[in-house]
Amino acid sequence: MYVRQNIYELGDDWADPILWYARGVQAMKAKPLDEVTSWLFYGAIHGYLRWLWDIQKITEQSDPAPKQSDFATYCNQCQHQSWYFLPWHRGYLLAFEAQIRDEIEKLGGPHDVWALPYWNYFQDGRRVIPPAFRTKSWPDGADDNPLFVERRWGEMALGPASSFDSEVDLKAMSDPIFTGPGQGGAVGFGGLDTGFNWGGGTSGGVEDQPHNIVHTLIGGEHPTNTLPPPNQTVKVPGLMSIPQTAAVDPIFYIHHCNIDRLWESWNNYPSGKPSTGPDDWKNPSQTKWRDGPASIGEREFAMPKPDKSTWVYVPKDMEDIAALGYSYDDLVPGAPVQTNILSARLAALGRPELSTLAADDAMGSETTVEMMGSGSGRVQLAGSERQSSKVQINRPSMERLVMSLDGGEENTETPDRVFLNLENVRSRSDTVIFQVYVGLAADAAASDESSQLAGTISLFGALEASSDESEHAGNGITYVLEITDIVDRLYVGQSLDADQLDIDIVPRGNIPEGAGVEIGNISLYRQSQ
Amino acid sequence: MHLYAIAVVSGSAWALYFLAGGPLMWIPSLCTSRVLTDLPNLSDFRYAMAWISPAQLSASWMIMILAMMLPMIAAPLEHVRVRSFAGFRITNMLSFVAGYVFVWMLAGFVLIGIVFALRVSQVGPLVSVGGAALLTIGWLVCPWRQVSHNRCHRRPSLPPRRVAPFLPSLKFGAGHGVWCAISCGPIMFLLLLIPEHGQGAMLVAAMWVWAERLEPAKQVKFGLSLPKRALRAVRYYGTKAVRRWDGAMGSCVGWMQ
Repeated sequence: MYVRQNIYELGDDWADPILWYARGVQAMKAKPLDEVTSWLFYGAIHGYLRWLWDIQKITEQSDPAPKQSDFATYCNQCQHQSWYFLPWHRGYLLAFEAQIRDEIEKLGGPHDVWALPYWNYFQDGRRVIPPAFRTKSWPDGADDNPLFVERRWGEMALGPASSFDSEVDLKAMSDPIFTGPGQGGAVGFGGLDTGFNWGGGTSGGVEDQPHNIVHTLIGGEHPTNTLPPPNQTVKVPGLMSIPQTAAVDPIFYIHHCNIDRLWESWNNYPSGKPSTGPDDWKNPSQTKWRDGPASIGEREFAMPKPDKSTWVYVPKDMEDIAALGYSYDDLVPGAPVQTNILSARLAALGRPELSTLAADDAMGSETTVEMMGSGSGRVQLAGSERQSSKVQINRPSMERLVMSLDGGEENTETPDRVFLNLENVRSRSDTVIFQVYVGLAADAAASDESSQLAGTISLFGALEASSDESEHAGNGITYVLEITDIVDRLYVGQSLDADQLDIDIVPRGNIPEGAGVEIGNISLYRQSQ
Repeated sequence: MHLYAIAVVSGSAWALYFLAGGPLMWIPSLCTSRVLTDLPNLSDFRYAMAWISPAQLSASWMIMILAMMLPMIAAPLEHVRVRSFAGFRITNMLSFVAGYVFVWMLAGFVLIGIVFALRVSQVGPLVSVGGAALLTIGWLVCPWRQVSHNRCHRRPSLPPRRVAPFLPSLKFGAGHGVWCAISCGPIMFLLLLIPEHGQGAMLVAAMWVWAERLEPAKQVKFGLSLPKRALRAVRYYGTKAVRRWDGAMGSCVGWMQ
């Protein structure tokens, strides 16, 4: 059994698992891109955008590209905005570990016990990448440490991220459903039902937070340098800031190891956590998820093995980490996770606990999602100032919502959940981060009103999703933020406006106009069940 | 719900189309290509219009469109449903369909007009069909076609207008129809010129455009874009069926022994 351990608790900055990781990475880096077991090829499996690779000096123009057949089998495969996000990345980590282990064996190291460490950035004092990734030097002083990457300009790379607590959260861990109904409603912990999805669409819960935001907080962007034309209005992004370059930064795998740990934690920690339905804390049971995209005629998940043969896997093979021969030394997520949200909601709304019968009824009833409000269309984001917008509410929908929240004795229905949709977000820059507030008073400072914060959005993956030639034809990414708690508070405080909802968007830093950040529309949805 | 509606309308259009050539021969040629080619030799347009009514021509074109194109708008229709207030869902979806079909009807006037012109000019079938086939093949490998295919995957935001909430859906339907007509127009034109075996050709063309539409948007480049997803699905389910058959035969043989 391989045990994945907390990188900050290995006892030393260069403890054995880190040292051997670095040696394995160095051995992989010595191979050319067109070799399927090379460092760069593994990066290309996640994402490959040659012009950007050349600009970022990952490759030289003269470097050979991956062979066409290898490219078709392996490259540009990472699953984002998809319910395959977690199982695909678990398989990717397994294949990568096998490759590193192979290199360690060739170097005479402890290949039979080595496993990737994880980085739990939710622990105090650990909001910066581990020391071995921040120095150019090996422990012996040699200055070619392969874990060090210059192109990391984010707060979590340069020093402890001061705004981490207000920007990164584990709300997704509270959602007991892996795949939500979508259609504007819940996306679930693991993301929406899709086919093979390299990018674009609607982000899933744990993918949005903490995955995306941590990518951006590590990668960041160069303070002054911009990309060459036609992207001269966009600053050079750090490697981790863009899916097509992220996996050539060694910290990528340590970050994803933590995301994988969160999946295992969501499934199994703590044992016996409260559930309100038979599907709570369980992975999807649909054949389409279990057998993967190949079951609907799409690309299969394939990884090169150390002997260069192909390993094909499906999500159902990835479900049980113990059966795969792995465990984590700790499954505590790292930040408080509320797992009995319904009880807390009912109490806050002044409603009695639902009777078992009513809860059973709710479990059996069909989930319905409806749009209950909409903005007036495109919202362009630029500058560093807070931008206000309004969502006009459809009266009949609001009446249905209020009826479900009502604390009357006869109301035995589960109260509706409410979601804000930021539709079709397009951008030429992946490094943009902004926060979305609901019902903020005009004179209130956003930083003082964290209870009105709907969520923090990182545009990781937006560049690709905004391209007309991307899988989704440039539809961008749609972000779904649950604002049930905010709406509950407004309702209880009798300040829920039946006609409109104020939305404020607060950029993190300055969004250059040239980044072309726009939200297609902001809409509001209620989900009943 | 709308999927059932699409299946019923499109299925009925296919049934009408096939039956019109068989048991329902009494229906005056309800296929545009037959309507056009069943005419005697035409020497001028007015003479042609004496034989054929524009209403009949429009109806038969509409049947072709409903049969072939309706299944391709299931996904955008779902998008319209999701982005509409509950009370406006049906109106908005119908607006989308109206915009989409309207554009295709306009395209029909253009395409049928060209077919008329070819017939009036006494262009022989070899030249007209051969030319249209070359045009279609050329279009299938043209990068601009990939552009139009990609645009068919656009799902824009549809913020409702206060005065006419259906307007964004109507606009989306018309826009979707434009890109769809640009993408599939040459194929439809070829179909209009094939009177013999028209039913088979229409079925093959429908299967092709449906399979193509399953493909996501792609990089714009020269070359034929194969419907890989459909081909992979056929292979996947074909292999599964063969395995199941082999298993069943194996256990049958085992039982007999």
